[in-house]
Amino acid sequence: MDSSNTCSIARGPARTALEFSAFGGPRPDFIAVSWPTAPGGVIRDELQRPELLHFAPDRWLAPGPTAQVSALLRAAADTGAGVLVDATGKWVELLIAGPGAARLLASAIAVEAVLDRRGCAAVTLFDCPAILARQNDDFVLWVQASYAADFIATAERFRAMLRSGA
Amino acid sequence: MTRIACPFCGPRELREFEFHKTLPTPGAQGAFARTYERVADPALSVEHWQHVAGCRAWLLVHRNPSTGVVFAVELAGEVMP
Amino acid sequence: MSAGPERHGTRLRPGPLSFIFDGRRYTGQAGDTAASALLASGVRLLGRSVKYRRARGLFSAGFEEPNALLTVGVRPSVIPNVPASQLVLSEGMVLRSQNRWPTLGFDLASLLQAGGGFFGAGFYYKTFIWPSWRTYEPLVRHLAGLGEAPRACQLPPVAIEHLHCDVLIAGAGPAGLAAARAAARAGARVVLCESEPACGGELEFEPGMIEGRSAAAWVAMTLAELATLGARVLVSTTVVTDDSGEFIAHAEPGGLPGRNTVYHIRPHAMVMAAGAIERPIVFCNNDRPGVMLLGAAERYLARYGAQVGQEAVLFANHDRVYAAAQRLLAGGLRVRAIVDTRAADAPGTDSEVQRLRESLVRSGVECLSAHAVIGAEGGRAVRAARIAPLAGAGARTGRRISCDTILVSGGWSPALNAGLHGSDARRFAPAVGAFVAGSQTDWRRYAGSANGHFDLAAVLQDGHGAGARAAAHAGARGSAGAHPQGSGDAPPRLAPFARSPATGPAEKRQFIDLQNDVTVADLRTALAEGFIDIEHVKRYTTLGIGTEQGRSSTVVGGAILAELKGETLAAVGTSRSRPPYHPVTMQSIAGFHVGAAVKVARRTPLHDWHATHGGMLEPMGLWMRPRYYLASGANPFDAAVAEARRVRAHGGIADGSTLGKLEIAGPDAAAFLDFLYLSKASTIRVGRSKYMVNLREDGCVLDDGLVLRLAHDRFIATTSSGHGTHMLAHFEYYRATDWAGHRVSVTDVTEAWAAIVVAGPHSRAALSQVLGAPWQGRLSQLAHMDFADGQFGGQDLRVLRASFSGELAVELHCRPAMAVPLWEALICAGLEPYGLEALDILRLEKGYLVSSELNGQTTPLDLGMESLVRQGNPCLGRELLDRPAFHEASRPRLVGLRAADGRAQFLAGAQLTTEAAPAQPCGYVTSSAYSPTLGEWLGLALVARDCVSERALLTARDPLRGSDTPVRVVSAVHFDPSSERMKT
Repeated sequence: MDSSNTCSIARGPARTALEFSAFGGPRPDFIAVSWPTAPGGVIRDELQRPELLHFAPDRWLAPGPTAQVSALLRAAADTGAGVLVDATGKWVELLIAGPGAARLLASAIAVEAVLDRRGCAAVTLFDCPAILARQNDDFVLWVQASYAADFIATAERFRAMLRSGA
Repeated sequence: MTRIACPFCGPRELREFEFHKTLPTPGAQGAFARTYERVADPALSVEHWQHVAGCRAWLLVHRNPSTGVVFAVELAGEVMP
Repeated sequence: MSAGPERHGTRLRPGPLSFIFDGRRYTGQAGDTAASALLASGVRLLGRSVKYRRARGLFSAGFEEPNALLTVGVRPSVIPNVPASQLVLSEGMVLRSQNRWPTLGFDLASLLQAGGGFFGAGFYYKTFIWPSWRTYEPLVRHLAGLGEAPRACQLPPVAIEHLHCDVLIAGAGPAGLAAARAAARAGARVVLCESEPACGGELEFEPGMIEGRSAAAWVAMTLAELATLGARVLVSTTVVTDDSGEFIAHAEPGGLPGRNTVYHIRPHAMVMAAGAIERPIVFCNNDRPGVMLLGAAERYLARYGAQVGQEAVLFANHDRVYAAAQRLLAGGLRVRAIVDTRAADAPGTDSEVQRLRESLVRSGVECLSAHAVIGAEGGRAVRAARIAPLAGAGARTGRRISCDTILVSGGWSPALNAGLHGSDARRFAPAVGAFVAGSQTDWRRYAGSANGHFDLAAVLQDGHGAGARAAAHAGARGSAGAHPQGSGDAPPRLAPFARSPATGPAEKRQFIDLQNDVTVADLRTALAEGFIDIEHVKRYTTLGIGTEQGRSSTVVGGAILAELKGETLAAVGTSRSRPPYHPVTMQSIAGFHVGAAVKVARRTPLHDWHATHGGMLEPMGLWMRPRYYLASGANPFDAAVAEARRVRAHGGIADGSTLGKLEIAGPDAAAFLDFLYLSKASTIRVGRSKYMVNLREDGCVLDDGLVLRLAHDRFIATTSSGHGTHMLAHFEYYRATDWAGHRVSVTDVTEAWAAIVVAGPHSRAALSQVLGAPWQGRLSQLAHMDFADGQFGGQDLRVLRASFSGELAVELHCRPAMAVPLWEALICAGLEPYGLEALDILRLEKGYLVSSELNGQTTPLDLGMESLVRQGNPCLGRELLDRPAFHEASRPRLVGLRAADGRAQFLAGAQLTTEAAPAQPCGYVTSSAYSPTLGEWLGLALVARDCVSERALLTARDPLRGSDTPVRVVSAVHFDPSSERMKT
């Protein structure tokens, strides 16, 4: 058994999720200092967990937003720059941790290339739509809920294969 | 050697994108012309694609249909034909 | 059978292992391939050819092996067609030869050899015709084919790795290693793939000095340096396909499908250093066991310490044969003669080669010039070589030299097909006698023998240069350093020679493609019958279409074809090859799509509840949905009828979570929806929903659904389950293009809301019971098509009064976490679940439409939506809806159908004809179901307008299922036409 290829897949708690959708075109300067504007930009908390992810043009995901982040989003919506949508239940959060995490994800996608110079990326892993981000040395991802069971089953199969030294 | 550089996600494999349609010729008048009439230029095709396996953005793609070489990829809304 | 004393070789490790071949036990050593262990055990007969069932032995030491294909394993999980030369043995492995019955030694079908004349080129177009192919089919199926397919497969799924790198190098021979080192030193991230289990290529057996070291030491040192520079070296890995610049490399350790890995590698630049493959010279009976490639003997000796025979005659057309002969002699093989097709003392003879020749002659080797081996003698094995001068006395008959091995080399053909692009430029190089790479691009270069270099010094320099250029193209800024200096065997100085002279009948036994039994006579036949292009010849004669894809036969075949046509090989060319370069298992192609993951399955929040409560889940598109529940009935028909009956009589609940839901919001949301729907959304009151239809830009109906107005600037648009992703893309498209710059957003909330349909007379009471006091008043005041937002269990709940069943009904939209508790509460309140089949019966009774009717070819006018069209909303598709073609009398019209006798069954798909034109369909049945409510079969159909009138009599013709049913046209709304039940 090669320990450099081990990792764990843990399901995060079910939390409220908000999606902010900005209107296209020039927008008033609602952007607070900490708002991630670069494609793939991410704001993190003190434990490096992503709080706000810019995963698509004009779209941000706030998984389990704190009061502070919620206030930020609501303020942005109030300026008329966009719309806040409650997407609770749409995403299932998974943490892929351990030295083998990158190799596990590489079974689905060229993970280093996709996260090159960005904190998060919208991807399709094993045919499942997901948003992928780094979290310290690990990876956190949000899979669309209806795909979660299938994704976990396939990921577990590869995890077992890698652990046994394929 | 073809990847498509999604303006948002960066370069991604071709299979992540889906062709939708070629744009109407500029100046096309009427719904019939806009929907059905196209001028086939072997050197340049202006098309709408979607990054379906990524950010789902709609893209304006300038492509050489004879060689498959992609000249330019932009977000669709930014430049209205 | 024991293998004798322990052998030594570069691939061997100490330690015996035993294996079984054709039922007999043999002993080999750790590291042996099946080929080397059998050779060492003196086994020479390893298979039979596919057509004539001629005895065959090993031909090569690589995956160009055409003869020795073995079946590995025990039935039913056998793996066929594994080249013995590639198969690394493991303890207890069970092997069987192929294409023989009952045994390899005595094969009944080899009697077909006597009828050799019947199986020439294109025989399958000319034979087995009278009285019919069926007469011969069972026999041919039994005899034909290569190997046996397994009845069960226990191969594990493949591992997969996606990776990017700067430079990908295919081939770790001297050129590839030099390229890898140059690129890595320049700072590029390098991936080096090598098909063999060990690196070095011909340096494994050809001695040479590189940078002051022995070749073997240089290889080891270079690999060590590559490791420290961070390069990845993948052995037993072959680059097999190129998918738009992403290369698929296939790793099959041990040469046997099992723990395979599929690599998806995207490099910035690539170097193809795949070397060259030795080609034979063709002569009469050159397929006998014992005729082998010269390089194969060297490889078996160096890698496995195995002798290919006792006494050998060498036959070649180049200088390298002398160095090879000396090495083989030193290794213990008795070389009786070297037959060189070139004249002695040809201009430019290397002095080193001269000295070698003289030394060999002194050792007792007969060195002949301007001679050829014209035939091999012996049946099951070579017993002698017949040798003749190319001109002059004795050219016809020649003389006999007894031997048990004939080692042949006609030169080496660069493995350009490894480049994976049939359209890559190539040019004929006379000095090589084959094709080399032509013009190349910066991002994909060839190196080494692919460019026509065969001496070690040139190969190293060429490889180094290619690697440095590739690294530079990939943006590496370091220095590749100086190229390695080295020297090895003298250059070949080859004189092209494809086949020995032969008389007409002898040409029938001059084999060009050993695997498919294609002879020189077959080429002549093909030419005579008009197949003159190499591509046609290939297909007509089956030249080069076997598992080794013509690696050792294509160039020789092209050269002989050129000779027969009186042209040059350059003009004739070779047939185009296609990926994969190397056989890959279906398992590798499947990747992660195996077992349950063959197709991704989407699940609703109620999925597990359905699974544990007898819900028969089936894939509908990507979603898993319950078709019916076992408690309702043992088969789908009875269950669905019982469930539908129960809903109308009492009530029921259904999982509607797959319904697409899009949240459209912003100041321009209402206008945006007005654009996308046939009727206006802006007129919907807050708190109300409306049935709406989407048109495509050409005027056809795309989808239908409800639009709910949550606020002045916020809506939920529902879409049908089957069209969910498509409609999301449709909305996103117009938002991003025509409506760019407007203040509207589209967000997919399909999965943020579970949906439960609560329908039937008892539904309101059950709902009140479950939702409790806070909801009582609101429920009773909820008008048809209204909705109310509130809470249940601390989470959002939306109650929408809408009905797809025609019963009093609501849709409950709740957060996924509340789906199961809410569902179970409704069950406790006395409602039972119903599935998709029942849902379909109920909606059909009401004439509601699904994708069978909304098939992308129907307009709203066809579907009876005139009132919506008359509203005149200038929406997408409205203009083209007015086109004359959509108003013609031949346009279909949606109608209902019932059996004329009130009893008979008719099914969706049946074609409808009128009495006046019984052979001409005027429409077809789009949906049908047995209605428990009305006690008969009902249907919906699309029928040409000019054929349809109320009560018209049509015939539903179903030739596929064998029935003709008279049916009567009725209103599409079969049940409760005024919709009283759902509007109370």
